[in-house]
Formats: sequence, C-alpha cells, structure tokens
Amino acid sequence: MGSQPDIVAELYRQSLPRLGSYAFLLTGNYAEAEELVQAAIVKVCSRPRRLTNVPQAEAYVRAAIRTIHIDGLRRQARWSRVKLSLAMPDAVAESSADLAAADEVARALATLAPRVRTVIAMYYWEDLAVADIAAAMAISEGTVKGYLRDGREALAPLLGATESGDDEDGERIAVAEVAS
Amino acid sequence: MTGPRHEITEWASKHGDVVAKDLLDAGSEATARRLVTRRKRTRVGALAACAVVAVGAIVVAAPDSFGGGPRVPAAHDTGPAELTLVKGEVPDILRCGQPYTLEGGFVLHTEARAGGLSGAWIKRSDDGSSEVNPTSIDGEYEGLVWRDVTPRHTGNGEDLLTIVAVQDGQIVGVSAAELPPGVGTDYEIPAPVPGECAAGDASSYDGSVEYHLVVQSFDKEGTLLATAIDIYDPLTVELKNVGQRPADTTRYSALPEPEGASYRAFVVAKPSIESCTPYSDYMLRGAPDAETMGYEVTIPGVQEFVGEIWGNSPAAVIDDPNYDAWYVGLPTAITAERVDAGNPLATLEWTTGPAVGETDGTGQLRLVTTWDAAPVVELPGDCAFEAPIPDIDGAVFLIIDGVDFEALDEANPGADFANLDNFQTWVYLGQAS
Repeated sequence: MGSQPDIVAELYRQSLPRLGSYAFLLTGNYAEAEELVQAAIVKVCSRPRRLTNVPQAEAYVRAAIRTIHIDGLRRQARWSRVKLSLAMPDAVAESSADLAAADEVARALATLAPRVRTVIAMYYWEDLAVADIAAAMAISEGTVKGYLRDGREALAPLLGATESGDDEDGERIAVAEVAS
Repeated sequence: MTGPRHEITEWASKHGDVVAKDLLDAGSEATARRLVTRRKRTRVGALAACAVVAVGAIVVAAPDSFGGGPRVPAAHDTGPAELTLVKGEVPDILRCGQPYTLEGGFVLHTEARAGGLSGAWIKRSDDGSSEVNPTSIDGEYEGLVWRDVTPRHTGNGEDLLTIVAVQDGQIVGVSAAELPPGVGTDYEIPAPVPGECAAGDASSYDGSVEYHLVVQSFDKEGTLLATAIDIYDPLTVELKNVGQRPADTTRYSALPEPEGASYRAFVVAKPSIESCTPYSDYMLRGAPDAETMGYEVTIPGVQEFVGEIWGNSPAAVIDDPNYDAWYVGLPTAITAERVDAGNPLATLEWTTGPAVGETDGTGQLRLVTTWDAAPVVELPGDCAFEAPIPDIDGAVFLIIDGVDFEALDEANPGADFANLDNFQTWVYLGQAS
C-alpha cells in the first residue's frame, strides 16, 4: 500500500464516511461536504509527501478539510454549489424517525453562524482543545468560548441537558452554565 | 455515553454515510485520481497553478466597488454553431492547444430568458492579498479569479462558466465551474494560469494573455438554454515570471542536511519588497541554493516539521530560558519550499512567554509564531496576513534578519563581506513531509 494511488483507493474505501461526517458537520449540506472531502483528498494526495498508511493519510485529509473550510470562512467567498442547509435531499427527508430527529439537529446547526458551527465541529467532532481551535482559526480563545456558548445554547434543547463528563480539558463550559 | 459530543458524532455519522455514498456513486475516486495526476504534473512543471484546480479554491474578498456593469450583447440569430456544449465537460474546441475561434455573442437556444453577470477580475497572490482588475500577474503561486459572479437567468438549472486563456490565438488554459442560479451571489471563479495544461517551457507564456468568459445556462433537465461568449469584454493581462518557480524540488536537493543541532545557513540579500507578496519576492530574488555563500549555525531544539505549522506549535524549543546566541532577538521568519495558503512567511519570535493560543509561559526559550513580532522584511502598505503557515512540505528555512559575520568569516576565509549590510541568513532546517 505504499504507492499514492493505493492510498487514494483506500481513502475512498475506508475513510469516506468519517471524512464526510466531518465535512457535513462543518458545512451543513451535502454538496459542499462532498466537494470539501474531494478537494481535501486531492490536495493531500497531490503533495509530494510520503503517505505510508491510511490513518496517516486520513489525518492529513481531515486537517486539509479543516484548512480549506476555515480558509473559506475567512475569505467569505464561495464559488461552488451552494444549497441552503435546510434543503436536505429527499433521501433524508423520507427516512426514519431517527433521521427526522437528525433533521432537527440540522435545522439547529443551520441557524448557527458559520464560524460558530465550525467551532462546534472542531470541538465536538475533531476533539480539539479551545487553544488549538483558536490557533487554527486565528481568533482568541475567548472568542472560541463565546462561539461554543452560542452553539451549545442553540443545540441544548436537542442534544441533552448537560455536558457533565465532557469536560476533560477544563475549558469546556456546561450547558447548564450557559443557560443560566 | 450521552452528551453533545456523542449525539453530534452520531448525527454527523448518518450524514457522513450519505456524503460517502454520493461521492462513490458520482465516481469521485476517478475524478480525484485525475486531479491528483494533473496537480502533480503541474507541480513538476514550471507553474504552480494549484488555485485553478482546487475544487474549493477561494480568494480574499476585494473591495466592493467595481467599474462598469455587465455588458449583455444583443441576441444573435446565428450562434457559435461549432461550440458543442456538453454539460460538465469542456468542449473540444475549448481545450488547451486548440486555436481559439469563438466570437463574442449571445445565443438563446430556447425561449428562456437569460441575464447577465456582474463582477470584476482580481489577482490573488499566494499571501492572500488581492488586487482588483490587475494589469499583470506573477507566476509562482499567484492566480487570477473572476470575482462577484452572479448567475441571473431564471431557470432552475445551472450555469456552466468556462474561463479560457488565449495567447497568440491559441488556448493555453481552461477552467470551468458550475453555478446554480438564484442561490447565492459573489461567486469567484478561478481563472487558468497559462501552461497548466501543457508541458514545456512555461516561461514562454510571459506576455499578453487574453481571458474570455463563456457562460452556458441549462435548465434542471440539463437542456441548454443560452450561451453567452464574452458577456464582458475579454480581459488582457500581462503575465510575468510565469516560468519562475524556484520552489522546484531539484533546487534544494543539494543542500547539506542538518547534523544534530548544526544547520547549514546561507547569506542572502534581503529582497526589496514591492508588493504584499513577500514569499514570491523572497523566492524569486533571495532564495539560496547550494552555491550561495554559507556557514554553520547551531540552533538547539528545532522541532520536527511534519507538514503543518499552526500558531502555537514552536519551531524550536530550548530548555534553557537564558540561552543566548547571536540570532536570539533578531527578527525571524519561517518559510518552506511549498506552502499551502495562509501566511507563507510566518513571523516568529524567541520568547520565554506564551505563544498564540497559550495562556502561560513554559520556562523554556521557544521560537513561536506571534502576532506582533518584528518582520524580517518591511512590507508596503497594509498587508494583512491572517494565519500562520498551515501546511508545508519540502525544504524548510528559517530566515534571520542578520548575519553572524564571525562565523561567516571563519567559514569563508578571504571572502569580501564589504557589501553585506543588507543581507540575511537563511538556515536550512531540513525537509518537511
């Protein structure tokens, strides 16, 4: 599996759902998520770096997804397909009650400002610390915490009442505190 | 386990499956392979046109004032019959190497209404700066985009926008983008840098290049409604330095690799920065090679470069906070052979205090990214750099705004150092991967 084409194949075979999850969480719509994943894979595999295994390559792609997305937020420009976050494809709309509930999450996430949503994704999905998010987005830690508060406030009715036990770095703020 | 993290992860996973299925159904792996091959070929060639092929390529927003409105030509009875339009594909007659034969015009293929576009050309530099309606672009990592494009036809389908670069009557670059109508404005379409689709001496593309915009509007069934060629007047751009890509791997292949904390350093003239593109200026005018006069510099604690540098990742960590060397305190920056986005010439500072993103000092002397450290070169005007280097590979250099003349004299006995007042030291830190 040492050659890059094999890495490309393995990324598509093994990593696509995870990468797609992160991209969807960041962007909120399928078209943008697909293009984000595709762009990140192309970016990583185009570089003359040595990719020796899939987890390593996936980590690079995940970082590239983050980079491309933040770059896009920062520059406030899009040229690719843009669809409203609420406009989910029929395949989702017609699915089970679970997915209907999931659509509520989608709606809640869609109400968030893009930067807030991005902070939520980096914090919850990628498990980055506040300091790392601040550095990645070139914003202050206070701003990150503010975004987290905003996001949690919007998501609290849908995602459970408290966040106890989810406070491993000491910087996370309980939903209950936010609500007070 | 419950809680927001678990629930968000679960929720995202369901949608991730949809994204994955869509990508596989669309044959995206083959597309990715094609793009990877193309980008690798471009890297090996004389141009860095990565902004053109990147699906998500985007640029800094330019000022909102633009000159002139869209020119909507009158409908022609006869259109460009030879332009065979296939949605999602670049027509054969718009391929590189072909003569450009299209004439400006506007064709209604059905009774559908069609509108115009608004916008302006901007130049995107590799440092993220932009220039509206530029008269020239450089080679290296800089690119050109057409900004503020707003599809206006009232159908439910998409517009396919193709930008064609023409030089001496020949097509030397093509880029395309699909835009849905009515859902969004201010799209930015990357324009091709000549040479991306051809082998050979890219420097031959220096000179005038004419950019044409071809817009094809489709309905939701994919039926072509209208074609507009040169809805704006074609833009003529003077290209320069197209062939100069000093970041070619071979340029640095002969540099001696570090041995322990000892690094090969080179004495390089400080460039005269005339734009907000310090990276290009450095690479074109000041980057060292194996023949450059050099000496050895000892820097303990240099960290391994694994491809990403973020704000709070130190470039060097020295356990002794009182460590003293000639370079400690001098303006310092870090750059690399290949840099993706962000600030390609990140300013660093030796500090015993916190880095960006940290709250406490560490008791170490560290070389870290800071917001307000003195730059290694003064830039003109208000050049905004929003982020440190996010992604690098190839040769990594530390640029120190100074020279250790004692060490230099020792390494180069008899050399004339009389005119080295405005020189800097490039320390080759090795290869990032």
